Amino acid sequence: MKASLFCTTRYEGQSKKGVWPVPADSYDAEIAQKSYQRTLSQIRLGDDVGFDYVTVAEHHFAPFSMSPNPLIFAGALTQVVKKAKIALLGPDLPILNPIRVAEEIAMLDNLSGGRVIAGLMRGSPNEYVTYNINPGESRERFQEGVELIKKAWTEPQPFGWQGRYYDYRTVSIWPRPVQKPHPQIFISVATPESGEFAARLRLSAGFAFTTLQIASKAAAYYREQANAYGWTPQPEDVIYRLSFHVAPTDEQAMEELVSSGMQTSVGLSMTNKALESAVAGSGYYGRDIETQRARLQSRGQIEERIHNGQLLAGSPETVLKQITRIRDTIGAGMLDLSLGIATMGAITNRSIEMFGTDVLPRMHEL
Amino acid sequence: MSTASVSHTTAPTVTTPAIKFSTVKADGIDIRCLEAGSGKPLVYLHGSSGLRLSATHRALASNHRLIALELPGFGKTAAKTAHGTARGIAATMAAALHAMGVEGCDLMGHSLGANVALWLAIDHPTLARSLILVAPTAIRPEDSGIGGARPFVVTAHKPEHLWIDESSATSNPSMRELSQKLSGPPRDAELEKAMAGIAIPVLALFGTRCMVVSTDAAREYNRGIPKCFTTMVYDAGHEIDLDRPDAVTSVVGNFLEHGETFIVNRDSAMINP
Repeated sequence: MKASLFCTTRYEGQSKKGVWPVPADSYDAEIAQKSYQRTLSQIRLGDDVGFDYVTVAEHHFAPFSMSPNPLIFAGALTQVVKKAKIALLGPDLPILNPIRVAEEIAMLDNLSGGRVIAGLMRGSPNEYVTYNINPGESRERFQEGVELIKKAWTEPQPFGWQGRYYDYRTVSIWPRPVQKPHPQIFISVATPESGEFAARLRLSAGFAFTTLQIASKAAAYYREQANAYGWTPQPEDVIYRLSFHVAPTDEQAMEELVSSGMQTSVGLSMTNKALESAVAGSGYYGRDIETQRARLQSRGQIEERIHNGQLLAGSPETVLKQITRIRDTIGAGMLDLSLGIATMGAITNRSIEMFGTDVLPRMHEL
Repeated sequence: MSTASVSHTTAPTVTTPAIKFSTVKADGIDIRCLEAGSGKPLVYLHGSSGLRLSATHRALASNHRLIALELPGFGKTAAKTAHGTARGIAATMAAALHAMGVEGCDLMGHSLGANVALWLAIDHPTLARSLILVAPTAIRPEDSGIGGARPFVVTAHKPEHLWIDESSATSNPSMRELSQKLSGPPRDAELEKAMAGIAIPVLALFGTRCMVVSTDAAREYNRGIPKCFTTMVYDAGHEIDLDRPDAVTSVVGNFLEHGETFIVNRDSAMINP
């Protein structure tokens, strides 16, 4: 198995809680710049201690992840990260210009020497408000965008695109991706619709903001659909995202997580209930709406999160057992690991180092 | 030398715009002809599914004189030995258009009708001002299914016809055989060499869900024809204009109006003037 280190650029200063979008009254430019430097140093450390990938992702109008354009951040990482590959997980495709996304990822593939994987995401519900895009059209925009990007990466002659949501009269992107035919594409297969789409286009699968129980069903459905289309996803086709925190002992890991305030964290975009309800009413979640809403709701206590496959926590030995359980349940070949404790300096760094030195070598053998 | 004469009869209106049915005599056969609208002539050559008109044709007929000719061997139009190839049919289509007094036109062909249109443009270079190829089957890199096990007529969605003659549908085995023959080999060296001499702007459309010819074929037209613009019509099968009539109307309408500068967007994006 492989591991990717996902360090979000969390704003380290004060900001209003429980709202989205988050007002910027208290924004301090120096703190923000320091937050970026902290993230970069964590990523350098992850690269040094052997993480296979480092991850970037897109979020808007909030301090928990100051990465409205993850591809800009990835551009910086191409010059910072020496060994690790870069997991673009990823641009929120339906709210973006897909040809621009194709161009930027091709640039990154060149700047990184062919070291990117391309996660194309739909984003969380609130992101649709960001650029004033109807969330009810998210899935159709997404699916068309993915097909367009694949064509833009692989078609050597100029072509036009007469879509339902995108019209281009002539496309011929430069540079071309280094990897042939194109960087590996991952999409979230949380919903039945996305599992079917990924299977039809032979795309790799990602799971995030979910539970092991929900994801195992979705993974089984994705595999079933892929088999129907005549192919079998391999472990390297499946990424599973969760948080991690490693300490010398289980007790210390738990104490540090409790003192970091993790128990009070809420789900991804549920801070604005009216907004979430309106998005749900648009058809955004698809036909499995209750499961999809449930998986994005507030997280439980630490022990419950571990049980649900949302958190790896404990000693290296304990964490390895938790990883093995996830591998056996989901069939994932890669874990995308966000920091359980993101901004506690030496404690955070020790967790990264310990994962690299005491977990990763054994994880690679799984 | 081809000889031709024209006789007109007006059939009951099927829908707006009025469709005028006629017969054109050329090369010794009576060719069924449908006409609608007025303006610059736009000649349409149907594909393997036979003579039919879609919502795209209805829209294009709002500012063109649409002339749809039935290919010999289909529907009510007889065929001679010379009509065993797309090039042979092209000669008769040229004679028919001459008989109708059409000396210059925009030329649109679907599927194997696009192959006929290609030969028309090659052998009669002053006839067409522009060429629109809809799911052309003249080049099939994978030879992916004409007459094979896959569905012959592929629409990804429920189609709406402006007019269709059910008797010429390709469920008819003899039509399938004819279509297969007229499509020619997957790669026709003579045609591809001749395509380099097409000087007019060409627009070629390919459906992303087409089971007959893949979008990969598009690049061969780009490479072979000097002024060729290819467009992928998303979520469309082989009958592109039936699946995505608005999408086809938009790009074809722009191309007919502006020629090779159709790639310039002239629509306002202003939201709140």
